[in-house]
Amino acid sequence: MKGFEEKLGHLEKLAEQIRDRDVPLEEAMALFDEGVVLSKNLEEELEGFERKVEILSNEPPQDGSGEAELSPF
Amino acid sequence: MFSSERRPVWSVSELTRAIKGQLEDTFPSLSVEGEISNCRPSAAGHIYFTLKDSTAMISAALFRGKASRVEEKPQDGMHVVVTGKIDVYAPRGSYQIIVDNVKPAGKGALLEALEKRKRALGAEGLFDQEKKQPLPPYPRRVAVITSPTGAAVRDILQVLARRSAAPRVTLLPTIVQGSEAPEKIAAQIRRAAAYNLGDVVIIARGGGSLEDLMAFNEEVVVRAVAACPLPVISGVGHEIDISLADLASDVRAATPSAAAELVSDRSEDLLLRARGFRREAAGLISARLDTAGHRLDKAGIRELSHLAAGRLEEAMRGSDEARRELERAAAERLQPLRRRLELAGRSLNDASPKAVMARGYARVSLINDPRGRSISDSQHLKENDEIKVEFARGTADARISKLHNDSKKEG
Repeated sequence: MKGFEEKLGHLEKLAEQIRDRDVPLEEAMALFDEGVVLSKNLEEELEGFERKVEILSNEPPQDGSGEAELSPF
Repeated sequence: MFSSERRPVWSVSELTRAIKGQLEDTFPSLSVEGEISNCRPSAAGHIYFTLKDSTAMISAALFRGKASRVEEKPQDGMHVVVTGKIDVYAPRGSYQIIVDNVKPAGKGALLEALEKRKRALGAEGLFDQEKKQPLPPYPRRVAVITSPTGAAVRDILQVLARRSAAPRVTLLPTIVQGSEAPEKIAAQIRRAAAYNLGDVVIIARGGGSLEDLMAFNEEVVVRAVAACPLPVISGVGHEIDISLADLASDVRAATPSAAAELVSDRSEDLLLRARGFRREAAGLISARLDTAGHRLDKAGIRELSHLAAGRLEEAMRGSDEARRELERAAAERLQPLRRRLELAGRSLNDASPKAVMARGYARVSLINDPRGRSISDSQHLKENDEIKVEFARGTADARISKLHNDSKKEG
């Protein structure tokens, strides 16, 4: 999970380069593409779970030797 | 009372039986307050002790079946209220209380007992700062241990529902008060870890009286919290209540809602910044494309611009997030958002080489340049160079007859 901050840092660096007019437009476009993919990945990772709430519906052994049953809450 | 005329001499058994009947009928159920002394657990799991005050004492027996369920486990010196019934034990000619429940006597005594326990557990290092684990910055899944019908779970879910980057919730249901609560809570804490049901555990309960919150002061809960390999956030009661479980947890949140914020704040922030990139970078790119008319010097700009228009639109509109945002937005918010998307798309189209050419500009390249690079500077040409000129429609071949080099350079 640590990668998030790094990815975001990279993303912000990309934005910086895109803003820099010394970087040719094609390159900026390529950076932009890279950034969009990265930003979407980040987004998916962060919110890409089902928003359901589960409840543990059994009482499996506390030593982990059983099977936890989860059902929608 | 007893007829001594008919039976002037009792047998011991008869007398004892009579006393037993009398006592048990008179005290079928009672509560008695006193201090515990001479407490001795038996190998079979029963606990025998004496309850006393300054001038008297009475024996008490807490049998195994009840021993695990009493509110307060008897310990010497404890000031308690014992509930039970009087029983006469004939073989020894003794009477005692058969204990149903033991609870701390009075609030003062309760606090005192709590303070004592806090010192004892603290001395074991259960509350040590060095043992605190940091919370994962971006938890993906959180195990919530609380009552499935209480205010705490409702508050937590409400906070998380407002966020896009909230972790998934696995609820481990338990009762949160009463004599069975401590063991249930502790068991769920151990299960959360044993079955890896979260990156972080929240134990929660809405506010209540000191007595209501007692389960979270029980040793078994405090130990389970301290031993939990997953980071534990306690969100028990309101701000002024501090439980021993709070002290043993890795992070104490003042309320269940605050606990929910702790597990979602950083992800939410990160998400907003990641989304912000697309908006910002798309703006930067379209601004650059807007002024790209004089930059048709780069090979392939045509394709790039075409692609760019599509990509920008996609980037700003294609994601589920944006779609949801649009859906959520109120009608008056919807309009400007759509308008912005349209404008973003349009400015890109305006900047595409085709659109520029349609306004009368042409693209020049050297016929003998295999890469067909666009020429934007006459210094790159010599007289008699053969060039290709592309218009919005059609192309023409030409030869340079005279060069007029401009000293101003386009950056």
